[in-house]
Amino acid sequence: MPTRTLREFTADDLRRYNGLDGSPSFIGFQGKVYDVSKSFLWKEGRHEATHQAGTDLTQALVGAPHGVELLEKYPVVGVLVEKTGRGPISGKRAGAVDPPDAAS
Amino acid sequence: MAKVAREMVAKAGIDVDQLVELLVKNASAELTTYYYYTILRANLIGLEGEGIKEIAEVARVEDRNHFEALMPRIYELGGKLPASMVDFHNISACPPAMLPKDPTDTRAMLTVLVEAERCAVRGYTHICNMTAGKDHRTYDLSQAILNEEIEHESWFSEFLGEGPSGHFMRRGDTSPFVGKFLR
Repeated sequence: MPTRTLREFTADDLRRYNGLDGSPSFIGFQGKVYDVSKSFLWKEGRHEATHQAGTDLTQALVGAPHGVELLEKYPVVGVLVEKTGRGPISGKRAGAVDPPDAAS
Repeated sequence: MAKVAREMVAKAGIDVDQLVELLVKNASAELTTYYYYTILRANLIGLEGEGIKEIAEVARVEDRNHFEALMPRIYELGGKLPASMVDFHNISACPPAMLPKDPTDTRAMLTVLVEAERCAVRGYTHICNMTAGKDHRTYDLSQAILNEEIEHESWFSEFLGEGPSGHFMRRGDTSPFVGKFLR
């Protein structure tokens, strides 16, 4: 069975999906890109007067009054990369192996 | 507007426009929840529904009280409610607490109720975090509302079998925490 390849997004790519002017609302979190366009709480890409879609919210979730479980119900539409073709920006690449422990 | 009151909040480092927007969104969540809970409560019928009808009613009335308590603070800080009630509905900080497809499914009804309360708990926790030590009046108000929302959540959670809430349903007057803000 063929594996589905997720689209790669750079930060600039992601910025275009800020929910404004009819664009979908995508947000980044821990290397994945989520589509929150259908969420009542992300109308026109804005969330609780605090966040705008089109950004990586990995750090922002640390201070949020909710955890990642609320995000996981939204579809993943891509992965965040530094440059397209280079692999994910955060989190391990598929099949990556940890380097040996320096202390051992 | 309370000009100096707003200045003090800004001087403490709070983005007052952002705070006002949050208060308006949460006021919308309260009033829309009051409306949607009216429908939910009307549909809590039969042997199972009757058992939670009164708790749903108390939560409904207290959420309306939360709206009443928030409204003056919004105006004190220089904000306002939207002119259009449709717009007000659509900026709610929480999704509408819609009647489930099968209103005779008590578990589904309770899930709608508990999720609405959980959204409110998150919202007021956020406002408390923003205002603690900086905007004493909004903090006092948000904390009072938060106390009641936590009780609402715990009641519905208990009925869902998630464990004891730790207390009884309200006896006597509603809004023991928010009451002091109501005229």
